[in-house]
Amino acid sequence: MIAKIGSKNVWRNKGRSLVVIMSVAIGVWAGLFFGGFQWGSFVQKRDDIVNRELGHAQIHAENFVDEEYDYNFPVKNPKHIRAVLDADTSINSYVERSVFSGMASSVRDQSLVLVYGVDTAQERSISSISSMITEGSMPKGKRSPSLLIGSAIAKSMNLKIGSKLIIKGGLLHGVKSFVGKVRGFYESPNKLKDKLVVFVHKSDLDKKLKDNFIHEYAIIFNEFDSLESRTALLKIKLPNEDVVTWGELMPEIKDGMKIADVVMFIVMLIIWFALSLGIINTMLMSVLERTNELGMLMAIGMSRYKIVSMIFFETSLLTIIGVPIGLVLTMISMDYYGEVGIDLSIADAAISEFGYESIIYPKIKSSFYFQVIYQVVIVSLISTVFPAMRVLKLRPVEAIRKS
Amino acid sequence: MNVVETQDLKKIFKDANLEVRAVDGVSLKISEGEFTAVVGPSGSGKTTLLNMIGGLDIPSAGLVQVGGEELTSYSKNELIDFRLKNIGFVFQSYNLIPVLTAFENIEFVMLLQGRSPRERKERVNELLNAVGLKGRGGNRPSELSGGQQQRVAVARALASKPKFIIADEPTANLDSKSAATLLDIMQKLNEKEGITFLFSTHDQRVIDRARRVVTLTDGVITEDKIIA
Repeated sequence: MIAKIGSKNVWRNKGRSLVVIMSVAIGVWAGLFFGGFQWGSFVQKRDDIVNRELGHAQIHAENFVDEEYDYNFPVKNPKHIRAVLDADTSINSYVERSVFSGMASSVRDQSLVLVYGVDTAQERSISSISSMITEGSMPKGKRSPSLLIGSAIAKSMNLKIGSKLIIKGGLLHGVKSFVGKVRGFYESPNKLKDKLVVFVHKSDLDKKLKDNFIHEYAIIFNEFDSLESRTALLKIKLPNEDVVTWGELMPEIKDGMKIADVVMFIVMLIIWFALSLGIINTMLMSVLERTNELGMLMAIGMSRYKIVSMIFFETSLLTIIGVPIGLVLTMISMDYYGEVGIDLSIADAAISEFGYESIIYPKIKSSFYFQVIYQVVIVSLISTVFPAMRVLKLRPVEAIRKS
Repeated sequence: MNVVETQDLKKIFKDANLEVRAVDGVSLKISEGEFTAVVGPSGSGKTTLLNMIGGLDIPSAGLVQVGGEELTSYSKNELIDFRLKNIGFVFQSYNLIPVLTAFENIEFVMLLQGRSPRERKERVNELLNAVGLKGRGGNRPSELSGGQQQRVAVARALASKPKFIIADEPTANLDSKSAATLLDIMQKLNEKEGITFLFSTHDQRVIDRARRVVTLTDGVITEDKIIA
């Protein structure tokens, strides 16, 4: 009976009901789309960092990070590490790098840099340096090592192809230096990286510095989801080295992903607050317009509980219609923008400063859907409390008198 | 047997320094099967008296008994339940539910009472027939004339098989023909089925049909006349 009369009441004022339905639908869409945008940008950033730089996990010498990537802190026993990694079937691939912080000096200028001595053939399994090259190339050096530098460094130091750079490493514990020649420029989505990282062939570096230091192992596991447990096992196998996951190296990204849920919740709260005002307003108007009728219902014997249930039913019905519309809108827009991306190139400079790409591909976790559905139900019910309280205060004799 | 009995019933409205004695010590007995009109000028307390008898308003003092049950001791929720089971209401402005058909409006009270679908259907058809609206059950109130809507309201009031029906100015919004038809129906229900009617009115057409006329002036009964 309540459902019958409630469902008919909802369509008394079609325009008003449609406004509520569309408000719910747009609220659901806006919340999910924002969540998808945020989550997508984090996942993109994570994948970019993991796939192009860090790998799933890394191995360094114990003091290497504390000593600010000093050249003089290579891993102690690369043979043993190699043996452990080769024997681990959960590892898809790994690379050995010589990584150290240093000072790059040209004739006119100098800049702090992070030197990556890489084996380009090996690196293909983790990163694709060649795909980032915007000018020149990275051939193996004949007399002096070839340098591939970020376009941001080139710009700040006014470097051209063929410019020479003196790079000094081991600044804290014994300087090592070499002269390299700029052979190419690269650009990555991460402007912080472009300002700092200089690539050089590891073999050229070893030749010049007369060492064969390995400062970093970057590892890719077969499965991303099991990297935490796999890294923990590696820690046991390599107790004298510093074995860390990408999340430990870049906690701001990992924590960012964790707080994505919280941010999503806060944004949804704002959306729901606006929506609840709409529902309260609409239902209150609906109740006030029907004061006389509700009074009559009480007079002929309909209990307050049933009348309040009817009001709640009406709101729930509007919400139940609005939510699927919002979900469909979300699916359509996520399908489209998940494919073509959202182009934020208008704010490219600002976005790149934070290491994000200018095109974001939104992505939604399934938990977002559940989160939104339960929230919208709660919001619609809470929003109905105030109009329902007005009903509870109605006195039939006064309500009827208003006719 | 008395269906309604009031003893020294009072309703006093207070507003700042102003005190209005809308009903001022009314003692009244309505027997089963009566067709009674409470008359009087506007503001004489007719509607207030009927509201208290119908359990819609709480008296300031005095007692109201309906079917032997004392209403003044009931809570709001108990009063709603009591009205559902014992009293039928016909309002001046019909007060039908606009989104329901005539059939559904009449059926509504029985739905509240939890009657079976079969019983509801039989009773509604019987009532539609009794008020001369056979075949109009599928019409919404907006598709019916004022007189027809009021007849639906009478049928709705009867649907729960109440002890008596309170009709507050039932003909006030009706033309002469519709008013006459409505009164014919109510009179017939009273005479054939013994249903007790209690009207408030200043419509001479109703007064002419009533078998008892109670006159209220300033909240006090000034005349109680049985018409032979």
